[in-house]
Amino acid sequence: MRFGYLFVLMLFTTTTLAAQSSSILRFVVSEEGGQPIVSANVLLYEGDEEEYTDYGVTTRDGFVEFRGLNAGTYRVRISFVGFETFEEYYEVEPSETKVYRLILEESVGELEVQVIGEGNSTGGVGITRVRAEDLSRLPSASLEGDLMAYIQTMPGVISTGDQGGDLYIRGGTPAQNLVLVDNIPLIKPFHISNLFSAFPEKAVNDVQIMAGGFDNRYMSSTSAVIDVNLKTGNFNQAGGSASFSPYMSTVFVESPLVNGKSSLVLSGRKSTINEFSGYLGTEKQEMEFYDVIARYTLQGEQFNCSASMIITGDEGKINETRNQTLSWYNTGAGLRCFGFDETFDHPFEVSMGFSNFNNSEGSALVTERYADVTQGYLRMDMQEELLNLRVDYGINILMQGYKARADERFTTTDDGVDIIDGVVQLYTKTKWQPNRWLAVEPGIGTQFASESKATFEPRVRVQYNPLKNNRMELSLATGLYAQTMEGITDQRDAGSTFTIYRATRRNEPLPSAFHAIVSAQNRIGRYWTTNVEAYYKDHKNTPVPLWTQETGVETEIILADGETYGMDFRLEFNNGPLFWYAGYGLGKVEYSAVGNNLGEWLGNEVISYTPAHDQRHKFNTYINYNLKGTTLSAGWEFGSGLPYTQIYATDLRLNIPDQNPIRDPGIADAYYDEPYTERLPVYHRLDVSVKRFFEINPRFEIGTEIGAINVYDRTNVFYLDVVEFEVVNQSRFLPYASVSLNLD
Amino acid sequence: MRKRKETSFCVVLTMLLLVTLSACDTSIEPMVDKGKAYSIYGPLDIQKTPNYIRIHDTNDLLNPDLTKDLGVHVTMTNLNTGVSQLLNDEVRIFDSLYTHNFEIPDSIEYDTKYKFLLEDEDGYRDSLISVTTKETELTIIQDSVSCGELFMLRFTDIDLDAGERIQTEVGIKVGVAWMYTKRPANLQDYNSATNTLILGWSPNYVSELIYGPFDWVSCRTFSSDKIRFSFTHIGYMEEASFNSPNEIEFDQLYTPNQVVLSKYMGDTEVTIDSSVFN
Repeated sequence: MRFGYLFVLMLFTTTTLAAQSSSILRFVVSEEGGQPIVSANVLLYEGDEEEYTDYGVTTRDGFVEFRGLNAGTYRVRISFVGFETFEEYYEVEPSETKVYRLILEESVGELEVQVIGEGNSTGGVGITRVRAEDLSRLPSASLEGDLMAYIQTMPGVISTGDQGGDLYIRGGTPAQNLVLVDNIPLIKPFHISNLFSAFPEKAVNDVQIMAGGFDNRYMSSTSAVIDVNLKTGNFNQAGGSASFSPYMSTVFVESPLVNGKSSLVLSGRKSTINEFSGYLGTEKQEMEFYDVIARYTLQGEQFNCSASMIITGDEGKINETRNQTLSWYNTGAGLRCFGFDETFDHPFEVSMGFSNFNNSEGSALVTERYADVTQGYLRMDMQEELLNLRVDYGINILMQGYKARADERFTTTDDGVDIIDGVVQLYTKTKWQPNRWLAVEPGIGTQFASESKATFEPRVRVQYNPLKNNRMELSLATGLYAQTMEGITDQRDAGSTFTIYRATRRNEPLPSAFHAIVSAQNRIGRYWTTNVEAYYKDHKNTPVPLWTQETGVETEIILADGETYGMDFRLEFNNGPLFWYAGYGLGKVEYSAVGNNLGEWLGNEVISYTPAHDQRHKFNTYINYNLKGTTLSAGWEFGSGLPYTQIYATDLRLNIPDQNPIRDPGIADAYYDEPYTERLPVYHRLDVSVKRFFEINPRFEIGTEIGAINVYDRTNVFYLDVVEFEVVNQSRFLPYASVSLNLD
Repeated sequence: MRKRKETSFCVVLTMLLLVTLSACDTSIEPMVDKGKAYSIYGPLDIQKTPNYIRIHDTNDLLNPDLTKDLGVHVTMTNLNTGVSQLLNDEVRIFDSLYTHNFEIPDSIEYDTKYKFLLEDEDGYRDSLISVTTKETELTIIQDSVSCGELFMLRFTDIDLDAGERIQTEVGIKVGVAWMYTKRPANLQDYNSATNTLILGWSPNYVSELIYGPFDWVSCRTFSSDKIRFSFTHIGYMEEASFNSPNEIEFDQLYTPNQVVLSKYMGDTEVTIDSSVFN
């Protein structure tokens, strides 16, 4: 706690040391409709000089700032895929701050590949930046891309099957992931069909997927962060679309409310798979899901503000034969303002809101278990200058309410959960750049819940361009991570994703992790990009089920350490009409005992095991080719077998001599073998689609798509169900045809 | 022409590749390969014929689609007479789940050892011996009791030391319903030299066991002056022997359920002193 107070003092002391003595140029870069352009390279030249003096990369608000400028004329050059290169001159007076809104014009004709200028850095070790267009490259059953389909192509991201909505990112469990949507924290906004998340291509502007090594701005996760930035509605022109497929019906509307000032985006999707599965000989799938996203954006002269809302719902069965329905719902709303007024020395961001997550399981008529998390947050992110360095700092105040009842499932929550916890998170970070080719970003953060000790989370990210150009970049990231919320699930039963969330108990240590990642990114020629990352994560105090030989008994939760290491390889080719991607992940996850043991099997202690998400090899490739307006997409994924636990024995238990075998069936019992000693068969699947949009008039077009999931009807094993005593398979061949109406 | 041939070749090659990929083996082994192990269980009701014992293959997945033919022979031998008989498998289906229940057509005798031998074609053998009880003689030591007095019952030929058990049930009538309790007696006295067991309850104690110590139900408010008593005399097993060719050793945490116990039932009534109800 004392450390926390010191940290606050240090944070706010730095702000008073700031001083401004030179000029500042600020730019907000957007498309014609007002959509911010994220991650665009902005080069600043003095007058007509050939060599640039400074560069920046636009933020999620399309914002970039150049400080410490002398009075004079500057030339700004911005290049970004799909847009005409922008170049313009700007003048600045001594000690003046000027703000400009820049609009990039879309390129005409085929997309041109960006010729990358010198000096720009991706800064992306462990981070994948995804734009909405990237999502559309994969075969999708609803005529528009979806974040879930994209994430699953990433090496190091494991889903244990094609249902359940759980993602394991480089060894971390779903409860160790943080999902932010315009700063609103959400839990598992992924649908029960793993083909879809709550984030369709049209509702998303950009996403950062951070598989580890992320900076101190993100303080609530020990494994991975998915930071979603929703789309800004068009400020000038209304538009919309509606689509229908056997999987999903969608509606999307965007419209200016005050021309050039404010806009609204509405996106709604509802599954239709429950009604249409089972047709054409395909398997019946009992599941329903929906998502609604709304975003109001107000664009002032010196600020951008948005109000976002998201609602998701999922209900269904993972195993059709099991009498157990799973459901989860998310509701979130938040306000976010980014201010960059000339009167402020530095830009700042303020956001606040709430979210609620509820998941439950039970029979069709009775909810047997439920868990509910409500989070309210107030967050401020600011900047200052200290010793000629830009210092980012911020505070996030979280109020978290937990409610749960899990009778006969988790012994640790026998009395239920009903607590409210407050968490304060503080961070500061800076970027030290001794020369153009080296950048060091150290940071430090702390968080403390009521009556718990403050954490100490130093982190650092380093980027180095050894060839003194942007073609090769070496990076590393390392640091300590902690989270005050933990998720408890019975990982032994893959047929249930029910998770209890709760604040870490006072007498228990916080879940924490150490991350280390090194990466090498290389751009070869105009079209090729390669990326290699090696990572190591050491998770401490991860809640896991205590191993017992009997199945179906109450689950006792104990703490384990999880060690994960591996390498990810990525290769991309992009020449505009043709895009090809291949990714390979090699990894290992192992849980080991903390103090005592992880349970018993036939009297022997279980000391360590590789959990169900320990996939050693994963390979994904997809291709997207635009041939005269027709888009052909194909994606193939391959995964080595995931661990599973065999059944040691079964029985039909009778009470002898009171019961009679002729009259009484007995109670089915099963006994586990040692945990996860066997592996499922390899998994592979091919998805294809052909898509074309027909222009009816310049503002209206009809989209059509045909395709199939699991084209060669591979029988991929999902898991061994120890409740129903059967092997559950993933989805078989699923053909589809989709149509959409689009008004721009 | 040549281009068309090349295209056809590519299509055929792709089809072949897809067929090959889809044909890969995707089976998994759900059960650990621990060797054969069977559960053998059932009651031997001396008062009923026929009886059944169930044989369950502990490697069976309990899934209707995967239910296997058992493929075993079960022989019952009366060790007192040396007479053996091969038992027939009578399959019973519960919710489409197959169970294998072997019929014992002849009546079960008192004070007899029965050996059950399970064998299969691979030479796997399991056997167990179930020992039936002698028939006890039940004597009511004190027939008419007041509310606080114990009514006493004497059982002869009860060999608790060998592993026999007595399950008892006592019933009282309150209103129109008979209410029963299986809770133990207030008095239990066993003489191992004479194999004699004495059990005793008081009406008040039985009432408390069922209703708790409430004033509104007491011995005086019973609607019958009778107390019903029933018992089940249960036999025991001599140690089971596993004779698997795999020579598996089962740990104490998991052993196949091998329980075949004889039983018979008896009952009587005692009377509450009529002065209690005046």
